[in-house]
Amino acid sequence: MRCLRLRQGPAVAGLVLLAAALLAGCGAPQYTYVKNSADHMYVKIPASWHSIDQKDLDNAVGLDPAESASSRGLWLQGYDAADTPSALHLFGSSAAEPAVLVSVQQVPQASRGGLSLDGLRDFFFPVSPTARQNNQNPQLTGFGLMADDVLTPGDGVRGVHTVYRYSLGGGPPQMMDQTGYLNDDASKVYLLLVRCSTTCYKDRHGEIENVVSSFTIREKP
Amino acid sequence: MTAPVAHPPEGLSAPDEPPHAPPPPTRPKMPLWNRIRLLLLFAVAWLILVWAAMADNPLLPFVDSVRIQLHDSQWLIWLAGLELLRQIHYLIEERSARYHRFWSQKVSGGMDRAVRKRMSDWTRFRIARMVKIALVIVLFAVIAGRVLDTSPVLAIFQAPALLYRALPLILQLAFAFFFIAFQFIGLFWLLSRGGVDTYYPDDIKTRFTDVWGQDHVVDRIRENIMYLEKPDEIEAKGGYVPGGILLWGPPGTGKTLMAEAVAGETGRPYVFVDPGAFINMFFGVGVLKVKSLFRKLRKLALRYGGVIVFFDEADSLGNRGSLAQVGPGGPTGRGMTPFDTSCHGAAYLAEDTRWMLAKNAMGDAFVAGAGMNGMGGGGGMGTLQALLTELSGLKKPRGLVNRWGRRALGMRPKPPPKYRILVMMATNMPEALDEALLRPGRIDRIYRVGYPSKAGRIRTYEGYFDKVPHEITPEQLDKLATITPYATGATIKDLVNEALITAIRDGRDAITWPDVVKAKQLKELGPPEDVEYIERERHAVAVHEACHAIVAFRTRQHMEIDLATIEKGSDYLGMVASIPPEDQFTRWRSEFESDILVSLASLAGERMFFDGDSSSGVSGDLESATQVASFMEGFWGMGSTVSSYSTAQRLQVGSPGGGAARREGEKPEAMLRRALADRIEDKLGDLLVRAEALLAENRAQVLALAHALEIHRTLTGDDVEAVIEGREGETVDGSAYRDPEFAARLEDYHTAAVGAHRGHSRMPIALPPGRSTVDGPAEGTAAATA
Repeated sequence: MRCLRLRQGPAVAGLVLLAAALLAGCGAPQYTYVKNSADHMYVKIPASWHSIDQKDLDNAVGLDPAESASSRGLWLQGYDAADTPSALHLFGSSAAEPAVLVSVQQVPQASRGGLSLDGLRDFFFPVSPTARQNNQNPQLTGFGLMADDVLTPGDGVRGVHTVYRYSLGGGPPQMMDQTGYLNDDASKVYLLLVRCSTTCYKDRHGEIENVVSSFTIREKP
Repeated sequence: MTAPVAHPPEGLSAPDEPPHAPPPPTRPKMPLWNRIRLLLLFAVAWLILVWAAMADNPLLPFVDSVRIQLHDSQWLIWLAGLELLRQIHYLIEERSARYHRFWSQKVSGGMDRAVRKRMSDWTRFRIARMVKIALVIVLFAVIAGRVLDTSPVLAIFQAPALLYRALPLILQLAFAFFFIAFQFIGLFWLLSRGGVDTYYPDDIKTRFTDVWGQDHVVDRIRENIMYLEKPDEIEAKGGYVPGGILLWGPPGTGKTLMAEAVAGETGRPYVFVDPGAFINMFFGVGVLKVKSLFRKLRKLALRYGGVIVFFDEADSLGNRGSLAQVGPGGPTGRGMTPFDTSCHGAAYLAEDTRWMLAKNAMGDAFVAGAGMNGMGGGGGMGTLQALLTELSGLKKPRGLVNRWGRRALGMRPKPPPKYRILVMMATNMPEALDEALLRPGRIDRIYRVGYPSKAGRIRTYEGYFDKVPHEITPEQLDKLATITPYATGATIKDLVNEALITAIRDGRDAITWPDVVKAKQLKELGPPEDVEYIERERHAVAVHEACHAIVAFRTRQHMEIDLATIEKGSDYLGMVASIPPEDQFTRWRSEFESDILVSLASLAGERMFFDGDSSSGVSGDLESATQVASFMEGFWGMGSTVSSYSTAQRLQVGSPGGGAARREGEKPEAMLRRALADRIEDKLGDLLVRAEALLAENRAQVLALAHALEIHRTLTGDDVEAVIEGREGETVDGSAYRDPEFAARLEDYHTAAVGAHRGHSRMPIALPPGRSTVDGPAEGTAAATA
């Protein structure tokens, strides 16, 4: 036996190494790595958050189900930290747990010139002063701006990160952590929206911060 | 124990197989690499997937990528597990004989037998090949699909696009490769040019009428050309056009001229291949040259309906030296004179006798065909072989489209058109040619371009003399042709030119007969060395040569004396040269005997005229005489016995002469002499007596001729005869020698010379003056009276 072990040493060592590698990988990954390879957009979301059903999401946004994702020029995915993920947590009046919407939208040639950082700020809710002044929607009340940072990650990509508060339809105040990017030739708009109630936002700020900071755009592969 | 089972016989192993060994009880141990290579392959493939996922997502750390791939690519893990199981199975087979027996004989052995029963080896090979290819494609598709983030099937369709993207790099590499390769291609292309000249009809003005004295060969070549021009005549009847001619023969006999005449006469292009064309610095260039030459020939043959290619000095192609071979007709070696130079060469002997002696002197004349083994020579590696292949490869289908394209479409390649190529080669060393070159199909006809016949020589002399001013009569021309038996076109032209130079030097416009004679002597003997003998030695040499000449004149009917001289040349003291008046191809006993008599005349004469004294100058004569006598006795049945001595010795039966068997390492001729010594000596003794008697009868003529030689130094055959017969000759008046008083003076002079010879003293009396028909007092007079 001893002799055998000596001769088979390298093979056994190799097998042990392989087994070790397999064991090391035994745990489940900590994050869900969301990506859009074609448009080079990446974000990581805690593995415990669940993906929102795509149809549900499309309906909530009001997309035509007959159209494919590529023909309508909009790619979007939603994630929800609640046990039963729902698009309502994204677009409803209240979200007790964090909900995430991530999207890439192709901008038609004609409207590329009109896109500005304010346009990115006001993509979901009126955030810029002008937009708020023009706001006709009585459902949106209790605005408060927590942060507004302009982002220039390079390669001509520019964006803005805003954190603001709104009460939607008289519900409890909701924190919106919104990051928008516009690529060099203004052909694509990348958006990440994380929302939850103000208490939730305070409690799970670390998680949310982790998601927001992982949002990455690459202009070049 | 049961009764021994009848095993099937072990069987013989094929020659290229090692001997059968009984199968081992367990599975042979596998090297480590074989154990782990598939596992490694899977591991590497899996790692590639891990890497690809990481490369596709900058947020993805290694550990999470590993975890994700463990889930997403578990098929690889399963495959690896299967492989691991297989390896464990093998490991057990290596340890346990029973387990191994079960698997190898029951399971896989049974499957193997079943498969073999259903499928042939070829089918199994094809299936195995297809399965391997399919596996590679599947693996590629799966991995590419993961890398490109599409399905494996789509990934296969993306492969061309990937290739297209990689194309610039591939092109760059290809360019770099060709950049390097083109340097060599260009170099070899440049080197393989040249050495081949093409002449089109009417480029060359030489015609068959310019070839003189070789009518029989010319007729044959005419026939070949006719077949080339009108191939239908012979092909309609099922024959084929002979495609190759070899002209061989001594130098200067008009082989190249004939080829030129072919070029001039035919209406086809004519390709001349330089003898040096196939000698190259690099291996392979010769092969390229041969190939490009034949490509050109085929093109010309198709375009003009035929082509003639001429390889001059074909021996430069070399041979492979495979066989000790001899050319058609045996080794040629005329003109070789490896003789003793003590007296006068052997110029007085018949040409054939001389040739036989030459062969003997060269080495072992008894081994037939011990010619020069023409190893090496020219071409270099592969050139000759390429030529051989091209010569016999003209009938195979050619061309990429023809051979591959048509076959791919299920059609049979078209046979090539009939390339009508006439290959002509010329050489004067046929034994240096490769045997394979000479086989029918490559060289169909072999013509010897020999020395021209007398008629041919006359025609040639006429041809050349007609081109310059001359006063030569037809009779003189006839005589000239007679006394130059081995003249070739080249030597005849040279002789005419030399005669013209002689005439011009003497301030004359036209060539006369004496110019021709002078030119001939100059050409045959070379310029005299202008050495002055002391008088008694001059007399001795003159007597020596006179003896040869007298005996030749009296006994030899098959030869005429061409000239006699006592002028010292580069390799002789004096000489009597004879020539055959007619072309004759057999030799007779009487002729050999007279040859021996002529050889022995010098010894007999010296003994007789110098009171029994004799010089060493006769050694060469005796050598020749002994050799001829030996062959007569032992080989030709011209002695007292009939049996062939060489055969008798080879078969160890002894010989009529009572000779013993040949000793170890003994040369045949030595053995011959030992065994036959007595008879040969007897024969030579008899002939010596006859020569002595002949000389005693002709004493006065010997002294007369010696005197004429001393005065004129060189005499033509006609002058020699004039002196002997006492008549007027061309340059010497022999009538004076009929005068008894003059004969007595010659006797006195001879006696004085013998006295001086004995006492090594000066001659007390001067040489009596002679008479010349051409130029007043002879030159010898002044010297003698001084």
